[in-house]
Amino acid sequence: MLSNESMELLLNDIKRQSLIIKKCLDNNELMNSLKNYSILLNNLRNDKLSPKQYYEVYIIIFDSLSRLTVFLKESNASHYCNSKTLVDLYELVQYSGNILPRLYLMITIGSLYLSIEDAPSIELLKDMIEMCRGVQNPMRGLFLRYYLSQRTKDYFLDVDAAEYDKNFNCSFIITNFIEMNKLWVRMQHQGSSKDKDKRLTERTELKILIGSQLVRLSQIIDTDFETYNDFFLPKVLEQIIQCNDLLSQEYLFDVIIQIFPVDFNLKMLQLTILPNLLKLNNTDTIKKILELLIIRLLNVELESVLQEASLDNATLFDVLWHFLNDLIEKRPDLPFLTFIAIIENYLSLSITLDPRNFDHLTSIFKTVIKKFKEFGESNLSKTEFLSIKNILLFKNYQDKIKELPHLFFFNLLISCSEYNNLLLLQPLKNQKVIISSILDNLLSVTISKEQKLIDVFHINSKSELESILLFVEPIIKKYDSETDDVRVLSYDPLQDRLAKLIHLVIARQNVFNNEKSIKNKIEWMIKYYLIIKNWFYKGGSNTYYTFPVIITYFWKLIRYVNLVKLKYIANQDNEVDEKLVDYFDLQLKQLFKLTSRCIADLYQLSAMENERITMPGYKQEEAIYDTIFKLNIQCASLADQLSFSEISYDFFSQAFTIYEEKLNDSKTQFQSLIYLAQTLQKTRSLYHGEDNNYENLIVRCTLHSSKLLKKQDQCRSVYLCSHLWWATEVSSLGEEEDQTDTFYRDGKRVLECLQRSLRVADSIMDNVQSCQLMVEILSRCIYYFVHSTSEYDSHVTAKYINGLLELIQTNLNSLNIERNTLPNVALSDSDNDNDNNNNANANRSSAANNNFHKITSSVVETKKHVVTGNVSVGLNGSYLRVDNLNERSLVSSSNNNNGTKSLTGHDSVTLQEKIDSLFQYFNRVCKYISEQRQVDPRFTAITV
Amino acid sequence: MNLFFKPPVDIEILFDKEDSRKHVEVLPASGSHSKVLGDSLPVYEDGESISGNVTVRVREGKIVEHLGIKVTLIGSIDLVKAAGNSTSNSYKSIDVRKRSIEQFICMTYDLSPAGELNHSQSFPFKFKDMSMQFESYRGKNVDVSYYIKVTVMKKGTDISKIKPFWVYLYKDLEEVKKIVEQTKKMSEQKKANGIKKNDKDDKNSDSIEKKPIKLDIGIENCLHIEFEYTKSIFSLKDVIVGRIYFLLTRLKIKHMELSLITRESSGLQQSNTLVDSTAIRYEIMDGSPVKGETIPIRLFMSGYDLTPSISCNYFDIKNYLSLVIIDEDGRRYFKQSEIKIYRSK
Repeated sequence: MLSNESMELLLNDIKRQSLIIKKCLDNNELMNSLKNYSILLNNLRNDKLSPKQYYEVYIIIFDSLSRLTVFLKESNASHYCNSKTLVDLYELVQYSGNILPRLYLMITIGSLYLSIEDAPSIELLKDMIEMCRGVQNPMRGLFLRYYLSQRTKDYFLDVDAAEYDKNFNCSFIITNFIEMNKLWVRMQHQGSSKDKDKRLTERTELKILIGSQLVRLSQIIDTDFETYNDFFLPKVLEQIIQCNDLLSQEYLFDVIIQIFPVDFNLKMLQLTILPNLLKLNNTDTIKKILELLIIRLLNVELESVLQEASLDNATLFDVLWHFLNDLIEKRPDLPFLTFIAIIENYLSLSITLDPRNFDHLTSIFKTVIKKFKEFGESNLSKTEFLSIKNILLFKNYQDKIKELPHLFFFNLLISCSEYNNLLLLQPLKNQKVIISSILDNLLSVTISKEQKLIDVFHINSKSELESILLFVEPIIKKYDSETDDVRVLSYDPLQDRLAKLIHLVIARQNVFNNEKSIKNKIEWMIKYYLIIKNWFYKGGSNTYYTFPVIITYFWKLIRYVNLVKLKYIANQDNEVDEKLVDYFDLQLKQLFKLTSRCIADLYQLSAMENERITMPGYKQEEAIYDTIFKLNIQCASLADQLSFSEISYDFFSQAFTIYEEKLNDSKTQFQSLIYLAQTLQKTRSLYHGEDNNYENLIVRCTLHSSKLLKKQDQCRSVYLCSHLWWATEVSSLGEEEDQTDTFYRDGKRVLECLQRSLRVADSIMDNVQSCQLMVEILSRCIYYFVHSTSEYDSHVTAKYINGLLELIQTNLNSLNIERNTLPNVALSDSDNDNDNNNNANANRSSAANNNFHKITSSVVETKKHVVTGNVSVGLNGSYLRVDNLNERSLVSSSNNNNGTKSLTGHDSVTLQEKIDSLFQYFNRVCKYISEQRQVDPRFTAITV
Repeated sequence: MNLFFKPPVDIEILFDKEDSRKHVEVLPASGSHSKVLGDSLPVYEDGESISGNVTVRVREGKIVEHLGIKVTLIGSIDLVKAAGNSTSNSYKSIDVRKRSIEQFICMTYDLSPAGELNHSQSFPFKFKDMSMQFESYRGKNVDVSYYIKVTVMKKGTDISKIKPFWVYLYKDLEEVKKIVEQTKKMSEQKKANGIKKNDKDDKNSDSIEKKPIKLDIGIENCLHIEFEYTKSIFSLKDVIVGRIYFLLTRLKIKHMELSLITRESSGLQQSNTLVDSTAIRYEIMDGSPVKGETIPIRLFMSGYDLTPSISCNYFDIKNYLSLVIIDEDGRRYFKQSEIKIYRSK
């Protein structure tokens, strides 16, 4: 390669020489100019030029030689342009001692000769191309032959030429092409092997010279399929295969694919192109070419082209598919990555051709599985697994399936079992990623109103459901290797997706809507849920995430069946088909049993899991049992609402069992009892039954309450349990205070509870707390006092309240003394422990607290919170800081959510504040009493 | 010196229609003093009559006595004397004058009997249908020359004048074949010591021209080529056509040439000297071919000044086609093969 400077010098020199020639020609000195041309052409013998530089030189010389042609043809010396002179000239220029100038001049004269009418064109052409063999230097030869093709171009493209012989012309160009390609390939093997890459780039720079030959051929062949088929393709392909050069094969195949009409290529795909492709040595090249081919196919209007080639989508795929099979069979050495890359092309093709046809995908995945097994899992590297992963994710075709990815994946899952089989062969980690990604796709569906129903997938049969479940099985299952994983303790997004999937598959099933008969509907749904349940059963303790969803759907179905039943009864005025009603009842009972089974399974699986994991502070266990406990209670409540008292009782007893056996944490116990009490209080069917199950249950509940660890918990839960003997109206059942007379009320028991509660409160050493509780009990007493009627005597008398007031007063007095002696600063550390306890309590039980609101809000209207200037007391005794009365609810709720806030030293509640709060609370109660005197004369008996 | 001693008579020889005759440019004889550019000589062919006019001019008012005027046609072979002698007086370095060693033609006849010349006088002369055995040749060590010598004989020194001319021998193919055949036979006979192969002779003669030169040569494990010239006998106007087929090539070939070498061997028998001159050098291939390549050869000979093959007792002119392969390190590999070149009409 020449430096830029010397290149410039050279070019100047060449330009100068060609200027001299121009002068010679202008002076009509032909011989002189020929001599000078020889000198000029010697510049093309320069060894030191890089391909680019050589090309620059070539261009100038080409122009200069054109001048000669023009001179001979047109100038006033046009007498040169006759056959005889040209023959002489043709011979004359051959005396040049150096071959390169000789041939350039020969071609220049020869191609001019071609343009004359009576020229022996074919002999001339044969001679020129034959003589070109003398130049064996690759680059010089390439350019010489390129020169030949440029000069003869006009002749070939002139269709009216007298001796127009297409076959000869083609074979001429093909020969030239073949020789050029040989030279091009030979370039690679020159010099030392360390410059290999450099030569490769140099060759790449020259590729257009070779490609131009094929382009010329395509111009001649034009639309003549026969020539293409009989002549062009076999010869050119043979050369491409023989040359055994990667760059050449890739480039030339590409050119062939690009320049000829797609339908030509398509027609010959099976017969010629593909079998030849198979002959290539390097599988990587095969891959690339195949890719180019497929991309080309996909980039054209395939439909019309296929029509022209009289093929259809399926045949096209079959043809290509057949090729792949051949390839696999004949090339056992095919590297896995290459194989996958090829497969990607087929996927792309299949998806583009017909995104709804999964047969092709099935065969594709089948082949991948076969190949995968052949290679053996252990022999594959990470990248190779990654490549499979990409395939499974359809990563590179997102744009093609973009329109309805969920529909695509859904159909894929239900109709292409091979896909799943392949998935199952992958490492678990990859499986999870893939499943998760595809689940995202499936879950991404949101049906807007504009969307038609067709755009959304529907599950139409059991097998479809099972395909989907089979697909997610890897993430349903819990694997042994993971049991020590700390992650199980935390939130698992995969399980979350699974739960969503359950919602989805239930919402998207079509059978229910299509079924006409109600019976079938119900039975189908039961079956459907059971299938789901049984699949998710495999998840072990993961059922914690998924079973609640299923159970919820069972509840929904129970309500549905009940609704259908009630409607039926309502509609058939006189003639109620008892059998049908019985059927409904039977199904309902069945459903409850199934729900129970679910809960039992959940319990059992969790227990199994927990036996294995003995981790200190393993809170998940508590959470699971808490959930099971609540699920039982909900079931009980539901059964009660449908008046299945036996069933309800059974669920309650289950709840109790769990409470007794598994719920050990005192805070959870407190919350659970309140939850239980709240539910029980609203049940109706239990005490309507023959056995007084209700009594049994509430006694047990109260008993548990009184056995709580902390006295304040005991105290509160017991006074709350008092409500269990004092049923209140449930307006949705048509009950009304003062009207309904079937309320379960027992004033004596209520009083007993309150008394017991007071005793506990009194025995608490912390006088603030003790006093606080007493005031709370006072509130309850007032509630019962208000609601005590002649019919339902609550046994809470004014006398009793007076006594209580007196007690409180005494305590408050002593507290007041304490308060007045307090320094006017924030409380010291000693009290923080207590605060922390309270606050922590508040946080952990926040959920229960909210629930508790519901019952108590109707009962204790005035005392949602005990508000001081900036501290209020929660219903479970925890202190909440409130900055402003108006923002109360907001702040307190945020406190609930973010418990740590109140734990900080700055926010801790001082004793002063507590006492203030207590006084305010008491004052409000007293105020209420005095206000009530005006409405209710009974209050006058109470002395404040 | 001639300037001072002007001869009393001035002889001029003119051939008939000399101006319209074909002429050849002949390089000055090698070794001659003269720095004259080549002579332009009229061309005659074998069997032609050589006729012309001799004008003898006498200076105004002078009378020259003479013993007769005669004209001689001489064809001679001139050789450089044995080079060994020249060392003694190397001062006058170019003592390589050729001396005639055989006059194969010497025909004389009198133009005029003895008498006096007092005015310019012309004498026509004619050598009818001369058979000229050899073609004119001017080489390094050998010349074949033809000339007309006119001598005015005097009592003292004769005054003579020489007029050279050039002879082409046109042959047709058949003749050349015969000659080739003969020489072949002779050499065969010498080799085989009298074993006769008369039967085959006739058949051979027919195909001898068409018989191409075909050779298969090479260097073991390095190069193996096969080359072919379509003919072994060429006329001067012919085109040499052939091809080279590369069977094996491990050489890094830079280029390949075809040269035509004219070899002049002179002297008697063993002591002959060889002089090679390259008449044509023609590049036929650029770059290094791969196995299986065929390189075409086509060389138009008519544009070159070539010497036909000559053979006689005193000297031989032989032509060889030499195929030369030059590799990238500048080494040359060649193979020569003799071809017969003859002059045809």
